[in-house]
Amino acid sequence: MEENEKQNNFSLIKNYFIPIISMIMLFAGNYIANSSYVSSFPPITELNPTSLSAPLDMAAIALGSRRVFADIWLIRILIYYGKENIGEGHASSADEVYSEFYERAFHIARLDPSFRSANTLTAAILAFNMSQYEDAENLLKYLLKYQPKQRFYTQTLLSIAQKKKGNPEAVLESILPIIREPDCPALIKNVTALLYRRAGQWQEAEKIYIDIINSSKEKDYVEKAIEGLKDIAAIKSGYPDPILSELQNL
Amino acid sequence: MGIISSIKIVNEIALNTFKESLKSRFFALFAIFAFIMLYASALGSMLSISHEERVLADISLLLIEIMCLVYALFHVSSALTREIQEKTIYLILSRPVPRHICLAGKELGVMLTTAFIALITSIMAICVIKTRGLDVPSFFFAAAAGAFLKTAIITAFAFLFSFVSTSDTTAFVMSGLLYVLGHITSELGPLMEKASGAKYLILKACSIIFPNLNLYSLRETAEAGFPLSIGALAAALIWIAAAYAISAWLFSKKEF
Repeated sequence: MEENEKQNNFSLIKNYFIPIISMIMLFAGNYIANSSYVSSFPPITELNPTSLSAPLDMAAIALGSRRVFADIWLIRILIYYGKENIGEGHASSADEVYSEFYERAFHIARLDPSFRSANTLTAAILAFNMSQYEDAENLLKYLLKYQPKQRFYTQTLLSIAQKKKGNPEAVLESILPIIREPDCPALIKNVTALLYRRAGQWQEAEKIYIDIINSSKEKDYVEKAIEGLKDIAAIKSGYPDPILSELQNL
Repeated sequence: MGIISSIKIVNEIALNTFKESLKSRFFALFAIFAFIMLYASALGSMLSISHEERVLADISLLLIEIMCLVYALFHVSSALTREIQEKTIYLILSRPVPRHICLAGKELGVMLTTAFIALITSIMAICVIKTRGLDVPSFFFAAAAGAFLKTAIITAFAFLFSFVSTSDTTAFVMSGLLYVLGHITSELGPLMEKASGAKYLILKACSIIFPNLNLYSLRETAEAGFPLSIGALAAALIWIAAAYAISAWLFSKKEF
């Protein structure tokens, strides 16, 4: 009786040996995989989805595609900024016109902190175009938590701090290390050219304008660069800088 | 049956499965659809102005992965379950071919087709990127290989699901769910820290059971300096082998 039971048990183990071993292998595979896995993205709990972003965020996580969805959010923020920039808004301040800009910019940062050109662009827009220094600094500090060695973020943060202090020479010095990078936003290059003009370094400003014309796909900035080159040519012939008052406010 | 003759049979079945899938009308339609999708992604990326290169590469790589996955899952249903339903499987099994060898051949055939799809869609994507006058990112091929590896894991599990489910559709849905859960698994850590009791146990179980597919999302991590680790590669091979072993065991128990 006992022997029969033993035999039954043995045949049961023999029958289920392969699935049991396979299950152990599956768990072992998971152990090996997870022990070597380090995520380069912020945790899901920081995503902070809104009713507008929740479906896209869900898709981003489910498809393992935070990068693609950061790209989509960049397109959305560019459309949003462009639309408002054209003049639909009649609000009295930039805060009211671009009320969602900061939150949208932060969303790109949360999705992909390594998207340095987009994140630097949004931080620069906040600081240099909208004068929302605190927001720009918060954004960059958040980004530096995940990309502590990213020069784009450290230098932009430094330049914002100098701008707040009203020290244009120091702003220029802090931006310079990143403007030669191919993915440096045209907005930052344009600010650098203006700072050079303010300092009276026409040749340096010219070089940056030529770089914008050759490398940027942003029509607005290419047009601004062409205008800048014309202005510099006029200044060299003895005329005063036509945007002198604007430059003093930098 | 010796190892060499087993390998020969596996190769023959795999090549036959591969050739059959290339001959099918579905393959041609799929290739045209893939090209249209990739070309349409170029239009979308133009909206990003100066970030076009990155956006186009990212969307293309995601499309390559989805195309591989969808084709592999459709192919799994026709590779074995349909052959069982249509009784054409007897043509192989009536010969002295063990079932696990037949299954290995079929799985390898589907994976070969998936690799071919990955290659074709990658070439299409590169053509689209080049037509736009942009550079192909350095991590592109590594990312496409990662997409294939991910699809290979899902394919192995899709065969397993096709033995335990009652229809092709159920197996397809289960495989799709595994793909989604595989991406969510690695995100569970911070949620587990906040959870307690039954909720914690469920999350912990999920993190142990489901494979972490984010390891192979090189399109997400390669540029940031996170290449495929040896551990991840070993895990992929273990998962594929384990899913195959269970499938072979289920196949051996199946009565026709």
